[in-house]
Order: sequence, then C-alpha cells, then structure tokens
Amino acid sequence: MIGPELGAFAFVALLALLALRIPIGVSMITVGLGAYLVMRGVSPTLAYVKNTSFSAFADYGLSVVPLFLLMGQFATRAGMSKALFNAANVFLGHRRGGVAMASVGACAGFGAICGSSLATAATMAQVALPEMRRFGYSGALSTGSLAAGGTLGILIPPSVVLVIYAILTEQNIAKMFVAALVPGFLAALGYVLAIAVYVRFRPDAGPTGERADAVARRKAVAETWPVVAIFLLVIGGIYAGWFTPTEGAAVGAFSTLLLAIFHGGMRWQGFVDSLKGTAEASAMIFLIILGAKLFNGMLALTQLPQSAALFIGDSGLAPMAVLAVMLLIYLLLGCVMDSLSMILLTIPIFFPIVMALDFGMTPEETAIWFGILALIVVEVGLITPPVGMNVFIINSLARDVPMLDSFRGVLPFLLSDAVRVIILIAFPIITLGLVNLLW
Amino acid sequence: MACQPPGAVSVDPIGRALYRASAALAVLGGLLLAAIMVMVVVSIIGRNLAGVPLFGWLGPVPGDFELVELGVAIALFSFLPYCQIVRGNVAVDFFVAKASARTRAWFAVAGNLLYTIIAALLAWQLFNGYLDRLGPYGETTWILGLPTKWGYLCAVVATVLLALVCAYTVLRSIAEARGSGEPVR
Repeated sequence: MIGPELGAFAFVALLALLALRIPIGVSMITVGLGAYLVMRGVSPTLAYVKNTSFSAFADYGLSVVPLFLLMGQFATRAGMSKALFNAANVFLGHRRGGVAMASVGACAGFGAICGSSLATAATMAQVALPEMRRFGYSGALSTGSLAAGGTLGILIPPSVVLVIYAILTEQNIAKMFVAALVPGFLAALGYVLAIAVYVRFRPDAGPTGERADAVARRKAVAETWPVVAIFLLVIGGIYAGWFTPTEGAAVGAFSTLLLAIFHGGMRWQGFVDSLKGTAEASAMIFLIILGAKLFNGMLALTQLPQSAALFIGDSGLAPMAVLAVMLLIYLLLGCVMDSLSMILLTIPIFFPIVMALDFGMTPEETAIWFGILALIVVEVGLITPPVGMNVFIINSLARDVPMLDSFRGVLPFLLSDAVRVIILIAFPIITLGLVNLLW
Repeated sequence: MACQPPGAVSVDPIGRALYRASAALAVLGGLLLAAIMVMVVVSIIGRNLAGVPLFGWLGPVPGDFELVELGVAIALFSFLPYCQIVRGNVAVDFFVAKASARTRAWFAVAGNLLYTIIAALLAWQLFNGYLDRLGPYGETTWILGLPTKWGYLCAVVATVLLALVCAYTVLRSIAEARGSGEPVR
C-alpha cells in the first residue's frame, strides 16, 4: 500500500490515536514516522528523524512564535488590563449591557499586544468579572462576553496562529496581519451589537453602569498609551519593513518587558514565571509543529494532498461549496481540538485544494482571504461546546456560574460570528481592501 | 496560565529531582530566549544608528539571524522536558471525557510510552547528527562560523532529560491508574 491510499490510511490512524487522548504532537510523530517506515524502510526513517528534528526548531521564520509567546507572558503582567477596561468603560459603561461591551472592547485592546486567546480571556476576566458582578450582570452574559472577547486576542494581530498559517503557506506575515485588522475590528463591533440585542430581550442581564464625563474619558484613553505605542511599533515596524516579523516580536517582547517592570511592578519571580509560562506554551506548540513537519513530510510523499487538490479541482464542484464544506469541517473539529493543531493538520491538505479552485482572485488574495476565514472559524471552536477552552477558563474564574450558563452566554456571540463569516465570504474586499491599499 | 497544575510537583524523590532539573533547564532556555530578544533589539538599534553622524561605528550585531536561529532552537529543546512533566502537552479530551479518572490514566500511560520512545529516538538521532558535525570540516554557521555541533549537543542533553522525564511519567501514570486516577488539571 503506497501512494494516496496510505496517506488516507495514515489520516484515519491519526484520528484514532487522537481519539484515544494521545497528545496531538505525539500522535502526529507516531503516525508520520510509522507511515514513513512502511514506505521507505528503517534507515531512511532514522535519517528522516535526524534531518528534520533539529531543523524544525532551528527555523528563523518560526522563531517569531516563542518571542510572541514571551511578549504575551509579559503583557499579562504589565498591569494594563485595568487601564484598557477603563478606557472602554468610560465610553460604553452607561449603556444597557455597557460593562459587558467594555469587556469586549478591552479584550480587543489587549489582543493588540497578546497573540493568544486564552491569555487574553484570562487576563481581562480578572478585571472585568468583578466589575460586571458589581453592576449585577448575569453570569451567562459576563462569562459569555469574556470567553467570546478572548477570541479577539488571536484575530487581532499579533497572532500566533496567523503567523503559523503564513509560514505554512509561505505568505507575507505583514500582509496577513494587515488583512486581519478590519475583520478583527468587525468582530469586536459584532460582539458589541450582539450584547446590545441580547440585553434588549433580557434587560436585567446587563444593567447600565456609570456615566463618565469628557475629562474622565480623555484621561482613561490617555492611560492606554503604552499599549497603543507597542502595537503601532510592532505592527507598523513589520509593515514598514524596519524589521522582520521575528525582530518585531523581539521588539514587542522587550517593550512589554519594560512595561511589566515599570508599570506592572514585575520582579524576578514574575520574570521567572513568565519564562516558565513561555517554556510550557512554546514546548506544547513546537512538539505539535515537529509532529506536523514529520506527518506532513510523509503525507507529501504519498501524494495525497496533490491528488485531493486535483480531484476536487476537476470535479466541477462549485468553489464556494467546497469552501463551505472546509469551514464546516473546521467547525466540527473545533468542537474537540485546539486551533493551532487544526491549522497544522488541515492546511497541508486544504490549502492546495483552495488554491486549485477559482474564486476570481489572484492566488495571493485567495491565500490571505482563506487564511482569515479559517482563523475565524477555528477560533469559534474555542467557545463551542463540548470543549470550549475559553469558556472553561472563564468559568473556572467565575466559580458560582454553572458551566451550562456560560455556554448559553456565548450563543449570541456565536450568532454574531456566523453573520460575520458570511459577510466576509460574500465580500472578500473587506479582508483584502486594506492589503491592496497599503501594498 | 502559568499557575502550577495540581499534581505537577511529585512527592517521590525521583519525580521531584526530575521536576527541578526540567524547571531549571526551562528557565535557562528562557534566559537564552530573553538574551536573544535583547540581542535583536540591540542589533536593530545599531543598524538604524549606523547612518547617524557620531554613531557611524555602530551597526547590526554580526550574524544576528544565525544567532536567533541557533539560540531559539536550543531554547525550544530545553523547554520540552518541563512541558511534559507539568502535563502541558495538549490532547483531544472529548472522546474519553466520560471515562473514569483511572481509565483516563491508562490512556495517559499509552501516550507517555509513545512519547518516551520518540524522545529516545530523538536523542539518539540528534547525537548522530552531532557526530556528523565533528571534525575540522564540521558544519558551521554562515557568518560567524559557529560550529552547529554545539546546537546539536545542547539538543541531545535536553532530549536525554526529556526521555528520562517521559519514562518517569509512564510510571507516574501507571501509579495513578492503579491508585485514584489522574489528577484534574
């Protein structure tokens, strides 16, 4: 058994291992090497391990990932969550549901210096949960809005998953970041609207908060300047070509380190904890990256991705139908898997298929547009049952709220996500407009 | 995120020693990553000041790209044992979520056993990679001429510790499967 059949069989074997709760990276390495062994024999497989393992980690492009993770660790200790929440709250707090809206806005702001959803949700929850409780917000609305708001962390650049997508598909990271800006803004806006509609039906879920005057507003906004400065420096610098994405991540990590020390009051212990947090997250991600590299290298040998692309490209299926099926698969996988593993696992198969279809755009436009759509849909998985990591983490911080309430609380945001994905599919210009304008 | 999961720090002396070694290696790797971060910032500043009068003697750090590549690789390898001993590697929980804590621990035995084999394989092949790079004509980096064998050697040290940690987690999971099951993370 060689060729695409072996590739398909390897996929089934991988899913079986995953279902048995074998760690994702370990499953990919096991199946990748196992199938390689079947195809090539013992000594080529050993050579494959030797030549792939070190180079998988010694990759300049991928070194952006641990640096962004380090930046995120420092960001959670920078003490900016309070300032970000206040800045959003002075404008939105007096509305019905306004404190929840402010939480979403603050998550968007925090997402600008943190590329991880879980960290964004967990950090903002520490400030926003007590505030929503103070104004008598329902458990469902407060946990739901934070869990959904957390997904903005990964959509708004810098974003670890987006970086990995860009590297996998050889796209320009700066362009991917710019392309994510408008959809990210739309996501935040969509969540705020979802809250507005929700409290219209459930007025007691989100009472009005305090009204702030113009002076307080100016002051609150001014206090967020470090976040704005770091965001503009990192994203602007990468865009302007002052530095590579990796260098941008180093600059971002360094400036959030300074912010954590001088504003967040981080000391040696906090620094060591940041390093440990970075170590755990980086190792978790890079074991999966190593697995994906070994698995996908094997898959390429079986010709499965090429055959699948050719088959679907020639099948005469409508490109939009194929796209819809892929996004549906992401939605289903997202119920049980984390976003990064999904991207690493599916992109080698899906990307050639997408590129073989005609969406009436240039190849680069298609690649960017599909990347943003995939990113949004895999993020939805973070807030859907049964395994919604964001919901879990927020719920663990709000012990008195039943898990079922939290999952009910994310429903309005899921509707908002669905509407946004449809809009972005129908109008690729929303994603690509800024990219085309700037390049 | 950075909080210690319950059951991460073992009560038995071997587990404690392995935890300490893994945490120390992870922090060392983290310091290396932080040093690279500073080096990159210095390099960017030097590069941009090079054209300014009085600062003409400045410039980018020579070989900054290869330092990033080699340094980050070493840091990443040094992170692996720590992640494994604190149960940081993600798995798909959904299909065994209904199983008892003890059954779940048996699945963990299987996962940890596979990872042990993989870690040993990695250590062995990285050591072979190190041997390939010995001698006067061993592979060096492009600009600074750093021998890449040092990167391999660090990776060997880290993966040997990883293999030991993995083997320990197999025993830990067996004990949990026989005892009260896997602690909830």
